[in-house]
Amino acid sequence: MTLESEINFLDLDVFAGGMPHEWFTWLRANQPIYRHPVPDGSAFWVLSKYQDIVDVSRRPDLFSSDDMYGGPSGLTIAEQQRMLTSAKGSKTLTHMDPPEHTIHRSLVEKRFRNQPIAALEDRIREITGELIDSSISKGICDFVYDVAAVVPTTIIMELMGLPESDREMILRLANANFAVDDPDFVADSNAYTVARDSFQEYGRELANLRRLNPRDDVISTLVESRIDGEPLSDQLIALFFEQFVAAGHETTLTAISQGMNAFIENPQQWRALVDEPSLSISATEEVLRWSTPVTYMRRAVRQDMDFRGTKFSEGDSVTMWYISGNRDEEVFEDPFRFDIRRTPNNHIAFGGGGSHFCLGVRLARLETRIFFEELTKRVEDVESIGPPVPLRSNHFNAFKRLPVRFRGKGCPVLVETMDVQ
Amino acid sequence: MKVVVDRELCEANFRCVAAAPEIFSMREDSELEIAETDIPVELLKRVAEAVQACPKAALTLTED
Repeated sequence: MTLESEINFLDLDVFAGGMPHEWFTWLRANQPIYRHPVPDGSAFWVLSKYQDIVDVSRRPDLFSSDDMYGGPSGLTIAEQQRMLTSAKGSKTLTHMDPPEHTIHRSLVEKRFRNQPIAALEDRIREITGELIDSSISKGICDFVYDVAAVVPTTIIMELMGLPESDREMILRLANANFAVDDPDFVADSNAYTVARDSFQEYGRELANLRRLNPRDDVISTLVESRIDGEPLSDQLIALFFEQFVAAGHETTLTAISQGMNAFIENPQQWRALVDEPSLSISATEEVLRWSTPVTYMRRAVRQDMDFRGTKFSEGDSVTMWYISGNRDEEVFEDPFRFDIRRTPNNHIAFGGGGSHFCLGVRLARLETRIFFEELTKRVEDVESIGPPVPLRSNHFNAFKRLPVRFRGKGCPVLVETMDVQ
Repeated sequence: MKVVVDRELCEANFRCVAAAPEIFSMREDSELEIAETDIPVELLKRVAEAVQACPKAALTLTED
């Protein structure tokens, strides 16, 4: 059986066993623009090379994200339909093309620029420090939800003006978005629909609250916005809310978890960061390249064209695999080496560039950098006490469990007495 | 050759400033400022790099 015949991005159980990097490595070398068949008779193009991903990203006029042509995610028509149905007739930024996209993004983008995000540093550092200190006292924990999720969730909730008492519910509902195919989180397609409906309902209620009592936050800005004199619909605001909360915590918690695992597997890199704290900036970029939380996004071809010798037809699905681009041997020397000194490191974890380049980029970088800065100040090391468990997903390179023990500076190695599931 | 910015796309990431500070700079209001001049030949390569480096693809090099 050749490797090519094994390749099946729709087999989620493969992904549940760990990212199939060998498939992408083979594709980059042998079929960089690969036509992946789907059982329903359709197909989608797999772009595994860095430059191709960048070139497609930067031409939204030729490669559309709009729901009209299938939207920005979903490898099969069924998956695209699932997302579309849950959007109930409206769309958020990732599902729009310019100029509609540009107009909507400009309503909120200033809140995510350098100054407003940098102003969060002290707060992020404060909660991160407290979190790590408490993890050291506990010693043993599951890193993903006990540690990595805490700061991104707290900050995005504060940015959205959500009450702390709603944290559990927010986390559970947001998980439906990205853990849609993992039975640990979402039992079935009905559970997915119910969770998304509930989340959007929450968003609509929040919009109403802000209409009555505006604050200086994202939802208030959306409620007050007018396009051609018209307010935004409640459903659109609800979808923005859903996406910002989901994107604002899932991706960053994944970067932190994957980064933590990379340091556990590469103790020399951990020591290097402990000994030289100024490496935290380049270490953050390597954590981002390594983790690539969002594995791919989709575009629809808008007109027949020749793309680097391959004929694309209007309506074709093109998928850009960032997880592969970030291991492209032609761009990154020894790409499977986790190297916190790697320079240059022009990874595409935030996308290939263009209109849809990640809006939360500064926040993600800040939360990730501060996490590892505060961690190296406070712990001797973080030890693995069980294997990482990947999320069952081809869209998010996430862990759902990462059992670890935190050892504070100067603490002896403790004897294992607890049973950890 | 001149370089122009689409103000609707620019989000002040300032990769351009890093790539070619002779042409790109940050104004006091934190928005991008582009030198009005024609780009000298010796800076063209770095300005082209700046155009590629812009994460929003907000910059374009034009003949005039």
